[in-house]
Amino acid sequence: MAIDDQIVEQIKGKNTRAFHLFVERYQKRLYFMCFDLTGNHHDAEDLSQEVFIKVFRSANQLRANQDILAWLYRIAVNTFLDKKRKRTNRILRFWLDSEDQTIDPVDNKSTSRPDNLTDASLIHNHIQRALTKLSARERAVFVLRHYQDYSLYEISQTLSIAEGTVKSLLFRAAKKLRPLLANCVGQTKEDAR
Amino acid sequence: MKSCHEFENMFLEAYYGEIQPYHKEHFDQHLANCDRCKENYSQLCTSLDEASRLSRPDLSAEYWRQYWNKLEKRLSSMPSSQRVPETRKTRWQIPDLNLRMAFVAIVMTLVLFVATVLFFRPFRLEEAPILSSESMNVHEVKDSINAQISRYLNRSKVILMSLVNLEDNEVLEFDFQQHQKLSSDLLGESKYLREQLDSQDRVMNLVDDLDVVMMQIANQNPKLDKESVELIRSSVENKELLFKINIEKMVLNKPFLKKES
Repeated sequence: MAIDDQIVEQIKGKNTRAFHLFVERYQKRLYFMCFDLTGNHHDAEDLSQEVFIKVFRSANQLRANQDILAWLYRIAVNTFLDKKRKRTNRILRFWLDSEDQTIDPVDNKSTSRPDNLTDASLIHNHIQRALTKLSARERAVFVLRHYQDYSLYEISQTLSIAEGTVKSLLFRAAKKLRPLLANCVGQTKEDAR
Repeated sequence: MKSCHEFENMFLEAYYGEIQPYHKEHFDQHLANCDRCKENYSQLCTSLDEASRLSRPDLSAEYWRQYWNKLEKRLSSMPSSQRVPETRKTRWQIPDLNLRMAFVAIVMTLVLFVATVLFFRPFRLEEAPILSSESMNVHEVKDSINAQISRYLNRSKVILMSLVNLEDNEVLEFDFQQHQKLSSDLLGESKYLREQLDSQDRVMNLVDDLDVVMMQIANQNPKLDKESVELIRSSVENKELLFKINIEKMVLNKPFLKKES
C-alpha cells in the first residue's frame, strides 16, 4: 500500500495526526492552485482550507489508487465554482477596482504610472485583471491547463466534463485573454523604455 | 485542404504540444504560407507566455506552520455533527428510543391495516367464486357450476326418494317440515343455477321440473297426509325425475359421456 493510501485510510478513521501529514504533503500545491483560481492570497488560503476540511469530512469517498492531487483539484474547482455562483468575489473586485484608479492597461488610456509600479507587480496585476474577465469555468480550465500543466484529457477526467467541452472552454479563455494580455505586453514594454 | 478556421482551432493544442504529429506537419505548413494565421498564432503565444509570468506569493516556512494551526482551529470550531462524513448521515434518524418504538408500532399498524384491506375482505354473496367468471378461466367456471349442479341434484334426489318411498304407516311420523325447508333452499339454489345455465340445456329443463315439485313440497301443509304424498309421488314419477337425476349425475361424473356440440 502506498504512503498516500495509508494516510488516507487513517484519515477515514478520523486520525488527526494522519490528516496533519496529509495537509503538509499537499498544502503548497493546493494553495497555489487555489491562488491561480482566486487571484489573491486571502481567498486562496480560505479555499484551500475549505478543500482540506471537505477531505477530512468525506475521506470515505476516496477510492484506492485514485490520484489524490486530481481529487483535491476537483474539490477545489467545484468549491470555487460554488462560491462564484453564490457570490461574486468581492474582495478581489474591490482590490482590482482600487488598482483601476491608478492603471488601466486594458483600455490603454492611463498614461501616468508611478515609477515603482513596474515589472513583476505591474505584470501580475495585468494578468490578474485579464483572468477576472474569464468566467469561473473558463478560468478553472485555463488554470489547470496553463498553470498546473494538465492535459486536456486529464482536465476532463478531473472535472468530469467532456474533452470537447474542455477544449471549447480553453479556446474561449484564450480568445478573451489574447487582446488583454497582448496589450499588457505592449504596455510593459513601453514602461520598460 | 483545411481552412484557416480549422487551423485556428489547433492553435491551443499546438501551443501546449498536444497536437497530433500528422496535424502538426500540416499546421506548420499552413503557418508558413498564411500570414494572417501566423500573426494570430504569434499573438496567442505571446499572450499565453505573458500569462505564465503571473507571480505567486513567496510564503515563508512560518506561514505554512501557521497554515495547519488555522486549519486545525477551523476543524475544531466545526460542530461535531459536521465532522461526520456526509455519506454517513442518516437524514431520517430518530434520536429518542421511545420515539423509535412508537414509529415502529405506527408502521406495523399501517402495514397490518393495508394487509387487512387488501387480503381479508369480508365475503360477499355477489363475489362468490362461482360467479366471478372474470377471475376464473373458462374451465374453472365450468367445473364450479358442475359441482353446484351435482350438489343440487343430490339433495333433490334425497328429498324426492324419501317422499316417494314413504310407506303409508310412516306418513304421520315423517319430519316433513325439514323437507319443506330443504325444498325452499333448493328453490333458491335453482334460481341461482338458472342464471348460470343455458336455457337450451337439458339440465335446465330438469331444474325447471324439479322446481315445480319443490314448490309443491314447500307449499304443502306441514301436516303431511297420504294424499299429499301421493300427489308428490305422481309428479316425480310422471316426469321421471329420479331417472333424469341419475342420468345427469352420471354425465356430470363422467364428462366424456356428454356430447360436445
